[in-house]
Amino acid sequence: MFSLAFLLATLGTADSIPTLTGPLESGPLAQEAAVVLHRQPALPIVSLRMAVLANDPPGYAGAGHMMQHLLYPSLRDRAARVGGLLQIQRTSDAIVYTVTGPTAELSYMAELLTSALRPGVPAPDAVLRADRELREERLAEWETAPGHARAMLRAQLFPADISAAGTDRSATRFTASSLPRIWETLYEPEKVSVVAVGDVYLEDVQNAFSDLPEADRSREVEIQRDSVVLGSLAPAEATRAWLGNAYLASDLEPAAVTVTARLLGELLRERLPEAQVDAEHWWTHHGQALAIVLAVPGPEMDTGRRALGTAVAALLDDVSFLAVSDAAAAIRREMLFYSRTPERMAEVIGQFVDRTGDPNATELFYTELDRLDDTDVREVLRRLLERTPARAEIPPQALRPRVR
Amino acid sequence: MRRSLLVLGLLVAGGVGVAPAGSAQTRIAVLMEPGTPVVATEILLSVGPADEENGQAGLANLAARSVVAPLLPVLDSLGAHLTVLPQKDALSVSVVSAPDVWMEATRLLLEALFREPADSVLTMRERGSIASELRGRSANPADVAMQEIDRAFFGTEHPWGRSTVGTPETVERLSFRAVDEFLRDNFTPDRAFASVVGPVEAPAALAHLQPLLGSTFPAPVELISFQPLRSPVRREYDSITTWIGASFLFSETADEEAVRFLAYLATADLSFSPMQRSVYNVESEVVRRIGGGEVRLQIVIPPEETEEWEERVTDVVARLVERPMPDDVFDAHLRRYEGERLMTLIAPEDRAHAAARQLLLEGSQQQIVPDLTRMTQARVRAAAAALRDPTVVVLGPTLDN
Repeated sequence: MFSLAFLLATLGTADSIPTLTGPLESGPLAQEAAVVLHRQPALPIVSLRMAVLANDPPGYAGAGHMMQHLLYPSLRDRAARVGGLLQIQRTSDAIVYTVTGPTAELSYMAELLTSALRPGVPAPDAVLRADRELREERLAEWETAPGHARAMLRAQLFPADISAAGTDRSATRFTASSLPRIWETLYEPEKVSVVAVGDVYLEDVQNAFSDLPEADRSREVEIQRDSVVLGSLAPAEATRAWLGNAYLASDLEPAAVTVTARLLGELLRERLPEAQVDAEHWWTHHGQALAIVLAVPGPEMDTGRRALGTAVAALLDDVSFLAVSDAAAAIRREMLFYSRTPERMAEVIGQFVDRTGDPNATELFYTELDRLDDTDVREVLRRLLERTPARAEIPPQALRPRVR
Repeated sequence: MRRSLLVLGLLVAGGVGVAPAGSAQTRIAVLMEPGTPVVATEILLSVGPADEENGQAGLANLAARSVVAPLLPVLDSLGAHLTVLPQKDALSVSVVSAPDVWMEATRLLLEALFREPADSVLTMRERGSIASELRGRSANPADVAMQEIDRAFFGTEHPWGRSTVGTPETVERLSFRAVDEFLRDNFTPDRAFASVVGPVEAPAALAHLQPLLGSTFPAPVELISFQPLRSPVRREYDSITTWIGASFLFSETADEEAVRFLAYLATADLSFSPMQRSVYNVESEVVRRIGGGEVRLQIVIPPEETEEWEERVTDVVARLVERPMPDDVFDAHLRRYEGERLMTLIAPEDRAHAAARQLLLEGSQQQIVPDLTRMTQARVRAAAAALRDPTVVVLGPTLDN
């Protein structure tokens, strides 16, 4: 969730900015899966992003990402054989594998990706290694103040959106014998989507992905109770005060939320020049939220709290057509810049497809930015003002004299 | 300013791919890419350490940074991204922007480079920042190793033998007057090559750039001859690892793609494996310059294995061609290399840089995507035979301490 949130928040109308993707080609794959193509003939390279839309089964939080950790070393080495690059990503919407390499190796790379849909029984030592890597990810989310603050906000707004790294409790259920059954519960071929960006044709991609495995429901795992800790963890160690407010925004126009987040970030940076300000648009199939996370020097904690609490109202008083246009144009240009390589373009298109299923969702969002004016942003701000935000606070560490 | 006429001689001698001298098109390349979302423009100035006086190392870099500094907020407002990269033989200035603003961004850039005087306050601020950056890097053994190889390979008196960006001491001595004079003398349109990559139309791009670059003859690019030190060069360095660098010179007529593949094979041969578990890191770089180029290898190993690895690095090319490789092994290497080579061009700014370098070196823009369909072991052997004996530099603690 956070990668797109970060992209969109840092990215949001100028009439003359060209299209991002233009109309995309799309079509069916085997087993009712789907493919979207953005053709870029400049270089004989293609990026293939395969997403399996899936929530982890109840009681098995982190299972999707665990499978990725199990498969990553072998898939990475196989991609390297053709000079390619493999990336894995577990978003709130999907389990994602992306491979980028020469167009001449399209079939090889497609076979590499589809092999991830038939994971097989892992070796016990591989399970132990992947389990340790997942545990380190969980600890990192708890230990670092930015991750901790966001996790606290997310847990309040979207309790079902458990961390990609899972929980300590669910990790105990991942064994060499249970993981294949968990995968069978999780995998549905009709929820596979492939985004291809590069020097290829739709028909070639369809042929390359003609052999997707069927679902096997004969060995599904039992549903277990989850044990998610909501906000009662020990606070992370921090040298500055970390403050977060996040508003549910699922019913609001996404493009307007993105621009509002950017404007709120700019306002707070102006008001708090010493603070680190991140204003983000979170958007997954769980819903949308507008989150602001501040890091301020310890003595400025009250000032930061006040600025954060009044930011929405202050922007509502100040927002102008010009500011909205400038912010939207800047976001559109940043989207263009970010998407300049095939794997990043595949990531941007893919995240929109994962949420909406619409192959042209990226371009629609991009076009919507062009249409926005200050009335759209005011509407978002008014609706946010009516809501009580989720809050997170991590005070800075204080040095205490040692008690003997 | 020390400029000789060797390369002018090479151009006149009719090197492969040299475009008709003097036409404005030979300084501008346009790669039309309809599916690419941004426009990447590279302005390559044939300006570098060879234009700096003794004791002024880093002046070209400071001049470039100073002259683009006032532009950064404006480019930022246009959503354009600017990068300055100093090289031994040229200054690379790259700007990546949305297609609707690329002309505005490049116009501002070219006017700043060739018409705007430097601002004294910004120049002094840039000088301070560069000196701080260099101080931070002075403890990095990779940087130190690279500088030692440069000194050994080009010689201590040669401009390329010193650091391209200078040292904290040389940079701090540079005055605003020196920067201003350097800009007036060297940042001139006749020393600029431009390439544009993205969703643009070639006639419109040329019509935009030609008036900004002018239609003057490209200034001759020079090569000052150099004499490598006697190899191996040993330098004491307080570190827990030893760095061995080797530089193999190749001539202008060498088969560049075969040389690049050879460098890849050498890296693979020296890399960490179950048979050589003590290798910490191996890197290779192939740099093409006017009049030829070099393959540079760098390996990091434990100090107690220095002698063994010094020999292995020195002999790596000879060893590779000594015995033929089984065909399937060769094909597997070639398959991987082809992919890795393409991936180096994945970003539009990478392709713009490659095209601009071709303009500088060849006088015209040619195919930037390598054709490896006819790569054979015989070609690799011929490329290896054309490489000169390496200059080897060993940097690390000695056994005495």
